[in-house]
Amino acid sequence: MELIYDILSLLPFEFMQYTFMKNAFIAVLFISPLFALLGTMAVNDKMAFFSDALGHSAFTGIAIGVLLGLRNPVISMLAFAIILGLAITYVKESGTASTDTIISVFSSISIALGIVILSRNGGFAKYSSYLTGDILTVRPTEIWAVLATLVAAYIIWSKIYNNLLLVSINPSLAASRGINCKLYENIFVVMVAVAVMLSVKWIGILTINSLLILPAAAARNVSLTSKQYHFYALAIGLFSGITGLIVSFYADTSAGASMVLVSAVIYFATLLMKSKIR
Amino acid sequence: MHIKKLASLLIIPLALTGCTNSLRYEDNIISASFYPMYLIGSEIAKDSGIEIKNTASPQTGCLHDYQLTTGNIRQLSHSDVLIINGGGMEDSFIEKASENSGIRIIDSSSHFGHHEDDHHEEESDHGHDHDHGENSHYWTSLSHASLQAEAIAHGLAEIYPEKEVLFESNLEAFEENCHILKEKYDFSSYNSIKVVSFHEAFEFFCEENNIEIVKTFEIDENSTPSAKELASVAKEAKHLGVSAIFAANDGGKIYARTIAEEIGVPLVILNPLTYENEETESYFSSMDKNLSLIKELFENE
Repeated sequence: MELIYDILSLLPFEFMQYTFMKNAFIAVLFISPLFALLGTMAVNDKMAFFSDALGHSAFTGIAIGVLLGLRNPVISMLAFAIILGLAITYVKESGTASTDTIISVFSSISIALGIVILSRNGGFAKYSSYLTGDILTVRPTEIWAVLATLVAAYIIWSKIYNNLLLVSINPSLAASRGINCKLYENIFVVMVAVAVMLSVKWIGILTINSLLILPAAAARNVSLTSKQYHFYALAIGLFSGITGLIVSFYADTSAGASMVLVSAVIYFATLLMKSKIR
Repeated sequence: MHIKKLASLLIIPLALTGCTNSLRYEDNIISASFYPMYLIGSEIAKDSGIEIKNTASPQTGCLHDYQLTTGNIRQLSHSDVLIINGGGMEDSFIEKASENSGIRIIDSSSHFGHHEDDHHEEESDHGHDHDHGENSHYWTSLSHASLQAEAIAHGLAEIYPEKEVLFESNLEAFEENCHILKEKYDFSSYNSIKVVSFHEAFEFFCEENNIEIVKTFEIDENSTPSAKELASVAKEAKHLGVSAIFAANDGGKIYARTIAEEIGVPLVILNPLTYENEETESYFSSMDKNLSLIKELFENE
């Protein structure tokens, strides 16, 4: 880590004097590609609300952690998000109501349950920092956890991407080729749950979904092939993450929200480009 | 048929709420506005046979924006007396609380009106960066807590005159315990150290223990400090030669830790006594723990 710090110190920026900014910078370098990758499929699959629901479930995850007396609620957050994700997929497949209704029901339940448990005895204020998050408080051990997730995600992605894409475009064709659609969907759900829960503390429940969806949505506007789509999403994710962090330092604003605003600007720019391309 | 099923489904939870409402109150209750008052009040009302209850939940922290819940109002309506910290701490709800059935209020900071005037010049030298007006977190100083205990004992003696002797002897025990802690942790022979505090409760605690708070950085629970702010605090703390960062186990802790790691000084997590611990601790055991952390700090200097 010291070596990375030394290299970053060589950069001619004032903010690189501070260790917490270096940590935030490295975290952005790792989170952005992870979210860009998962975002491509979430946008393809019309799952934007799904990942939003997962983000909201963080409160219930924390609450369960508090009830169980866990020191670090990440484990209970991960477990609850995975269970919630799988439950939504299961109920969605049963076809009892439209997908957005089901996701909305689960999302509402998970945020309400979390707030009810945490606000019992007036303790909610202690956890309200999760709403906006703060990447400036990220620690080296947490950065390594995200790096490990990033590496794992890229390895899994390289193995499952083709089948996952087929499942998302044409489930009947996928099934006729002997692909286990449920399995692939569930792997993707678990990946999103892990990525969201590991980083929600830094990005915030209110803004985390934008970081997942905006770079991919912007990339989709201007890309013609699947390769381009992935590459643009990654580039836009990295650019908006780093620019947002730097802007937040000089403009004295929240880092997570600044990153989201930068990617929103890029999204609208690509929207204009898209209409020109056509 | 369906309507009947639906109706019974809706009625069951209502019926259950009725059944589980098992809160019962004794005849005499002393209510304490929040946890520090509960801790000190418990020492004074010890063995009196009168139940003392905390009002604002032990998870609330400081009371600046606290609003009474229905449960609180119900408890207050059964209480003879409400012990408050005073100094503006309970301003957000004291009016509503005192509307209740002639409940009597003991202001534990009644001594400090004079106290603050006496020491006004001395205090203004320290400089306060927070904008909450006068700091009223008196209980973190043993001397101030003794005065609060005295006000509580005298107030309770007026309301329950038959127990005056007991309250007086509990007060003596309280003062004696404070004295023992002060003797055990006397830092006056050490060189004074400078700290940055991420909680405003420690001002009197530091004053009493030869520690100078050069800056109080109060983290609002609903906002996050920007990178620029953190950078300027780190810069200032380094420039002023701060020896440690103080914080409580609350929302400010992660920022305190970030600054402590940034400038390479220890982070000391002190207990402002506003939160109930997992193992129920007394006023003295909590203060003992706080002071032992300070002792370590002085010894490592």
